[in-house]
Amino acid sequence: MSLRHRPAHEEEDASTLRLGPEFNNAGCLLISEVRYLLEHRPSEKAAPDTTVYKKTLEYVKTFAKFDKPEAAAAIRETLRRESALTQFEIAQIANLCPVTAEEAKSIVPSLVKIDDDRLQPLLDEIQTMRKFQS
Amino acid sequence: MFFIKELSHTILLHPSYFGPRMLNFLESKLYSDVEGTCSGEFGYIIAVVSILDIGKGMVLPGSGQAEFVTRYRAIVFKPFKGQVVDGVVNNVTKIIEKNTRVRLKIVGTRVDATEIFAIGTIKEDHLGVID
Repeated sequence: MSLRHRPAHEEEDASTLRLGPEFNNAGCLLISEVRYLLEHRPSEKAAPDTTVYKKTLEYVKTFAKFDKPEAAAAIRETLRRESALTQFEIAQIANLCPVTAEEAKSIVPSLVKIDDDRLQPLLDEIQTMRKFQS
Repeated sequence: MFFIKELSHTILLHPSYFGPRMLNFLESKLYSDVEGTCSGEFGYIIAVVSILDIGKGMVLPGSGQAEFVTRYRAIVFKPFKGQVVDGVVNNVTKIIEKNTRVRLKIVGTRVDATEIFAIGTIKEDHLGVID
């Protein structure tokens, strides 16, 4: 039997996409989607009366980049075209809306795997969608 | 990062609750037990989106209580080291005004029984005050 020591769990680090066993394959939500879900709750259930809920609602109202669920769906559609992007990266790009490929790679370091000339058109498209959402 | 995640929660029910209103009671018990809680493993549970399975309800020998293993889907939030996030300034030491919006990178997190603390930096390109 090998006595080699294994680390108890690998350290989480979003810059290398290590989110831990519970979240490596979990579905990420855009801030805009969270806002929509919280504001359109089923009527039979009252909103949770917790500080966490209230703070979250305030946060997502402040930082949601897209008003309508269709806009968030369109962003996902656009980013899905680049198959190398993970759920986490898609959500980060849509939440932070970087303008240039250089900025995107600086704030989401795992994006280095994608060439600038493939990344930039996606970012441009998102900027256009942001500008023209009504 | 916000996630949609499937989670489970065990509810112990006293026999006095057995009866026609039991399902309603279990649902509200699930909401009040999990919503607003925080753990290092799953982060903050913001809101239950749907209940997938309320459980069969196994009566425990000895106490007569029934154990329901519920499964539900929830919106959760967990901050990660290395993640860039936007935030609102809440407390001020110097230079930055309260209520300013900033973009920062999380450099470390610490998990407590009921909260997750994160330390961030704005001292990098593309970070700092946003408008």
